Amino acid sequence: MKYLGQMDFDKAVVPVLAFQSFLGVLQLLDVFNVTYYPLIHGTSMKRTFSLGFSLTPALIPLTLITFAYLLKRKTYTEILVSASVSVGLYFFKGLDASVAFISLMLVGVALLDSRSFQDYFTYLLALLSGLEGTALIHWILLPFGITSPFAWFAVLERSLFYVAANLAPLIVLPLMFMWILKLPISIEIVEEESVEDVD
Amino acid sequence: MKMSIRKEVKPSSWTLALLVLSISLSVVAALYPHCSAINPRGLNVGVDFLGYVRVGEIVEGDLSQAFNVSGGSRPLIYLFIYGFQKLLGSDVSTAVMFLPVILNPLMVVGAFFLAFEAFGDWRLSSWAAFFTACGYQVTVGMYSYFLTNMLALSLVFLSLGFLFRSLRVGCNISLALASILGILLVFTHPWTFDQYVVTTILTIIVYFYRIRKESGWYEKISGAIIYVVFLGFADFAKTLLFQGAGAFSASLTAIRGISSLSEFLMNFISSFRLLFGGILSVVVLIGLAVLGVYLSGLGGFSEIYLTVFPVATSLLFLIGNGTIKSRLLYNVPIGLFAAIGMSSLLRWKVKDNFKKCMIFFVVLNLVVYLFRSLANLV
Repeated sequence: MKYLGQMDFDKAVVPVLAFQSFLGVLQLLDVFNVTYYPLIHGTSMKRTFSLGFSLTPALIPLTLITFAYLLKRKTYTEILVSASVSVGLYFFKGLDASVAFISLMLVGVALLDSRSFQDYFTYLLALLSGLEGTALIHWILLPFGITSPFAWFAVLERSLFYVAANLAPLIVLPLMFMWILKLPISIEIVEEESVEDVD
Repeated sequence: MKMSIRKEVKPSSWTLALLVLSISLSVVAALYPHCSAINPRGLNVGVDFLGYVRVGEIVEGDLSQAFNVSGGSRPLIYLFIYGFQKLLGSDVSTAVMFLPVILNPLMVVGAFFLAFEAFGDWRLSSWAAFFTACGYQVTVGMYSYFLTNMLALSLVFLSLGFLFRSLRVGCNISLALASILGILLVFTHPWTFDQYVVTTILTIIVYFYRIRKESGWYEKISGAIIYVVFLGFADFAKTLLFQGAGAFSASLTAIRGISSLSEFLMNFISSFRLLFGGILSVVVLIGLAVLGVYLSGLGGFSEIYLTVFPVATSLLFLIGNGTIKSRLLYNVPIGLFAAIGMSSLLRWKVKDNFKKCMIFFVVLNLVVYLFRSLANLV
């Protein structure tokens, strides 16, 4: 029974990790005032990521659950390192940054320890799908002149999209120049086939 | 590195639903920005809208002007607008406004057809249709009103689809259709013509190198050579008869846009951040396409084509200015590459729930991107 209880806790903690990392990233984007350039009414605007409130009250209990989980797994060194870095960050960027950072660090440690990456990403994708779904309802209702209750989520989704858009140039580079990396492999294939032909 | 996708030879209901959804979304995309709640003042949608209306009115007065306006580079789009206007019985402005109702789904069907002829897989082809409908080719096309470019992409997708079919089954009718559509491309958008025909020529060279020791290699490649020769003649005839901008002068335009490598970073970032309101930066779509490019192999002609495409594009992409970069990227068959990436991800040996969540996320993310971008065009 004890073993089953342990299994249940291990399974139950995975959605917590997904939710915690999502909130942690939001809080970090907020704390570090990440800028992005959304298209609003035909014009590219400069915006700073801001939630308008702190997620620390939500992050603390989630972090405590992860903390308890890691204590059970006896990953003391990792906890200590995460806590030390987080305390250091507190003096430079304040409580919100510190809490967001430690929660993300602990999520990373918990994932590396439990190896439940697949379940974690399943929950994370489900969470993000939920956000996209609420935003979609907003955009579908918009042409009918209906003010949706999900406008805030649509704005959050837009912010996250354009924050991620900052990475687009980095992703396009492999799209265009992947062939340079593939070239030796392709030549190898052609040479192998040529050898076969000779044989 | 050879790609081995398990093909869906017969369409499942899910695949058909995705295809119908893609076509429907592309039609809705053409109408969405004109809804009164989104565009209450009835503003013109698209940067080039007024330009098309102005030239369309000139062509309406004298049809032969289609071969003179815009340097004679794109007569087909003006004839298309004229025909559509007569069909609607409306003025030029209304015809231009609603032309994406035809062009968007045409591009989606073209992407589906190209993917199907390249891989013979319904599932992958439906994904290609979806990624085209919800990708930047529709949103940026609507933002900038790249009507000519959109028509050119539709034509080149269909033309290549028929070329791949003719090379696969040795069908002369398909080769004739590929050539006719390719010739129409010459009269539509010389820059797109350059990008795709240069890729075809490079593909022929690589394919020849691969099959040169096989018996009957000439039969395997002759269709592609005939195709390129036909298109070359058509381009030459266009330049000669109508003094229209051909492939050569289009290349010169591109070369004039070359910037120094030191400006690469600034041009690169500006083409994503500022051009087209930043809606070119669809990370999920481009990420899947990267995977698709990585998995494109060196199997048959169509696979080599997809492998060679980034090679041909990247050379100018490296030295072109921000505008050229963005236009080269716009012309990439991003839907097809993303579909290859998505299909390979779905073949991973992972839990069903993971796959379902991934499909949900990708579909929702791109549909939201489509509507969000369209709602903010005006």
